[in-house]
Amino acid sequence: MTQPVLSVRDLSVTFRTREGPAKVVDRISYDLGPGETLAIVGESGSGKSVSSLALMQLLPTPPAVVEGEAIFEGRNLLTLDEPEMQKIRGNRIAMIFQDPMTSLNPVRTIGHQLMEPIELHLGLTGRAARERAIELLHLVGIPSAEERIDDYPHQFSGGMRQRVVIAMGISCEPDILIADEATTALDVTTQAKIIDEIKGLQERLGMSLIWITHDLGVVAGVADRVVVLYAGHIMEEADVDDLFRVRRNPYTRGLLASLPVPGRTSRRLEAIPGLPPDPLRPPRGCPFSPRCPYVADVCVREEPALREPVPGHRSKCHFDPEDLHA
Amino acid sequence: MTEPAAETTVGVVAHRSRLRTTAETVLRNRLAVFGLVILVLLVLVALAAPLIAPYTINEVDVANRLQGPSSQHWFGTDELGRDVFSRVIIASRVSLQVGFVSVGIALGLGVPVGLIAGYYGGRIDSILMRLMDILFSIPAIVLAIAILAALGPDIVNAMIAIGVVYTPIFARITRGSVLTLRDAVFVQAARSIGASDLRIIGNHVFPNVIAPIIVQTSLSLAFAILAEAALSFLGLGVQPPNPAWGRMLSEGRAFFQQAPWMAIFPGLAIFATVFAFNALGDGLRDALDPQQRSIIESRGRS
Amino acid sequence: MPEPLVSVEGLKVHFPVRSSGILRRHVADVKAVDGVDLTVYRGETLGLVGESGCGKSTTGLAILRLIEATAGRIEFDGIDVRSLSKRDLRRLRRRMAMIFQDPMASLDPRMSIGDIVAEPLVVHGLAGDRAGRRRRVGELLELVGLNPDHRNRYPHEFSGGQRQRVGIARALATEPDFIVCDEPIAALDVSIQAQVMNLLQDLQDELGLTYLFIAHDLAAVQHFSDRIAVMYLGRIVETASREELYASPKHPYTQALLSAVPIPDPEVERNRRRILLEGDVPSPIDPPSGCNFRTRCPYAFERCPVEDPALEGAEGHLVACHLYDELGVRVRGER
Repeated sequence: MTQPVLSVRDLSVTFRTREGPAKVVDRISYDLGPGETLAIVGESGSGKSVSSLALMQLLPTPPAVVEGEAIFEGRNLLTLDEPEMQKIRGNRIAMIFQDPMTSLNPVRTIGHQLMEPIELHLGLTGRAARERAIELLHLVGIPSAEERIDDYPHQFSGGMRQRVVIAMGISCEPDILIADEATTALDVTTQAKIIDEIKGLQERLGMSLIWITHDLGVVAGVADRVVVLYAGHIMEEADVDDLFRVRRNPYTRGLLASLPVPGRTSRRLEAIPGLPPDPLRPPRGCPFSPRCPYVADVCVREEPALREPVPGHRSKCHFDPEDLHA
Repeated sequence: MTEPAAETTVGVVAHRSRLRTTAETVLRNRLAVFGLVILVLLVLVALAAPLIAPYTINEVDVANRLQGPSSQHWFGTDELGRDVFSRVIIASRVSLQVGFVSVGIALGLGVPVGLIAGYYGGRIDSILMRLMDILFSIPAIVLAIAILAALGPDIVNAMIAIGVVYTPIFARITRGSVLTLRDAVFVQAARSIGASDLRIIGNHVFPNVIAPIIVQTSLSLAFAILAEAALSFLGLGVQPPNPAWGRMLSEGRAFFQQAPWMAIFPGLAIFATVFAFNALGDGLRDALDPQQRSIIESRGRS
Repeated sequence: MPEPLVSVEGLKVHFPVRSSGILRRHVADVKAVDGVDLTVYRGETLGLVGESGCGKSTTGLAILRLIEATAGRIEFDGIDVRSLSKRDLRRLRRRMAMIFQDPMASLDPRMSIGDIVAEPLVVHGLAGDRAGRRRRVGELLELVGLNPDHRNRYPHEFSGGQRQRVGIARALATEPDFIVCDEPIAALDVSIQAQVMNLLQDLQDELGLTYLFIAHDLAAVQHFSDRIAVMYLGRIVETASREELYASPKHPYTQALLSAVPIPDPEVERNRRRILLEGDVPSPIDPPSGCNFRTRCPYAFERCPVEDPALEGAEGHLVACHLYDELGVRVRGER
């Protein structure tokens, strides 16, 4: 693999709570290649959003304690001071969130908000900034952008608003775009259009994408590589085809088996029994052991390593898939 | 579709009960604890007043009139030689009584009005709340004076007057909270199982609006005691020779140059009580519903 | 032919839009539901699918009369629901129940889960005295997979999936015939969704329930339902059995919707052709004339803006589209 754009090493996030420390991200490591789309998939509480907020230094510390390294252009993002970080945020690494309404200021026009990062990071002003903003709106597929640039967020539909947020995200042609459940709040037909749009932009601008989602269907459509998070741990990481086909890890297997698939006619889903663990009281051994159908003595005794039996395919399990017996 | 509501980043199950959390929050607020302590003392004093008071309220001793504070008369004596300490202590009973009864009246009228107006909405709401607006638009003391002028100056009438004056505050606060609950999914769920309106209001709406009402009750008690003092000061509340803090303040005014203690001690008693209720009310508000803060503050009036 | 339990004809729910200010004049109507016909047969699950704002939840609420309809006829087991008095309606609620989307919001935060589940019993005077009710609540909690010993706990002490089980237990308390499930899994995590869907399925098999399953997630609806009705902008555009709808969707909107559902299989995703719709859903205040999908339809022609297509077809596959004749046979070619 070529030199990664971003290398995350042993990233941990712990929240100090009244009832004790809660480790919500536990020593995760991954690389993001140039132009690559990495999907980080997990359920709520898996640490998928927290881990990327930590990268951007967007977590309040305290109560959060962030450890580890995230190397971007030879520097560790986690130890940069705030002025340095501001030069990177929105400029080199941009983020788009689930709810476009909360990322947009309701009392300022779209144009105003789009021009802000352009003026801040690209040094364009006045007419040039405005033209760039219109160009961006065109790019994300907003019709009659010249007129709409002076509209307020509430004058846009949900799908259009998310496009505006994407336009803000790519305004400085970032090296990395982090999309945190960026299409989750949208209807499927709109989602399909937005995903198309983002993939097109990625090709044109050559950015790397980190796509955070709980939706395995979306993952299958967008990702090159996938990281599966559960209770703060990476359970499996692989090329998208290998992940869906081989399913080395029992958690990934369970997750995929629990999904209804259109056209499949079986009347029963294979639900994963039980609940994800409480981060204040993590289970001993493997974090998935209390719910795992293949659980063995060793699983409760010791935490499995994230092994890489096949190059490029890591799985946090004591067993190989052929050795798993319920 | 929205991202599944996070089961909270910390812990799937919250074990702490609401009541305990509330109590802990209040107790962590020093001012609120201080207010609570003062109030407990006040209530104890009021209950035990006849036992504590060294003199009776009308023990006239003209020879010792207008005496300053001393070991015999801790708060000094008034123009008839009556013991100010005893009178302040005895008067606490009437002040607290007026406070509790009048706020009780305001609660009894205002909360049902707010519940009905908020729950049913539409025309019923418009009529009831316009009525409350009219009451609300007249300055409190003026309205109380008018009521007392109609009913005659008397302690019971004063309680009624103060109660009526504070009714709109409770009606509004209750209605405001009910409005947010009326369309709550659990209210709809109750309707879906066939629960009657009465049951929904009583079992689902009312218990969920109690918090702001408790807060307002505490604050209103302070205002009611102040209002009683003002009315008695004007000679419309408690009638002589019974002592009341407001009346004592008013009578002491004439002798302020020679005997400032006649006004200072009843004044301090009013201050301490009002302060205690306010401090407790603030603490309760922070503990029970912080988001209500601005609403009550903008509507509170004395 | 199975026997219909619920039938809805020409259902309309319009919400008035009033001007701000004192007069609050009635200026327009949001036509949330604008002429819905559907039938739910005894013992089946009818899936009602559509995107946000299409009126699917409003339809569910209107059938149970939790929202008053503006027009139309709703029949439940031969009873004309809309003509019932408030009293009779309350009595009928014993036989129809609802499961809500947000399990936290639908449970009164100040009641223990035992009291929540017992409430329908109290309201309808069922299960006898206190001891009888206690026993029944225990049974119900067990039925939905909760520990009856936890009856004194409060909703906030449970996870989302467990709360939804409490909501299900409450819905089952009066042994209803018909349950409207309004997005019952949308607020839950993937691994929990399957648990809840399996539970609903087991309960249906065990108790012979009839469901109206409302969801935006076509994959879930397809998994769960016997028949599916697709809704767009206040109307039903297509109804078919789940196999039929998947294998040969007729309405252009259904086709677009199906093509947009992400499939958890990278190979399928790479090779599928998506039908991307133009523009946004029009406002329900002023829906397009004729067929309300015509503004985004790739096949729209002269007839579409002038004539409202009827929902018709053969063998249970109904479609509201001018591309098909009254028997559901395609009469106009691809563009």
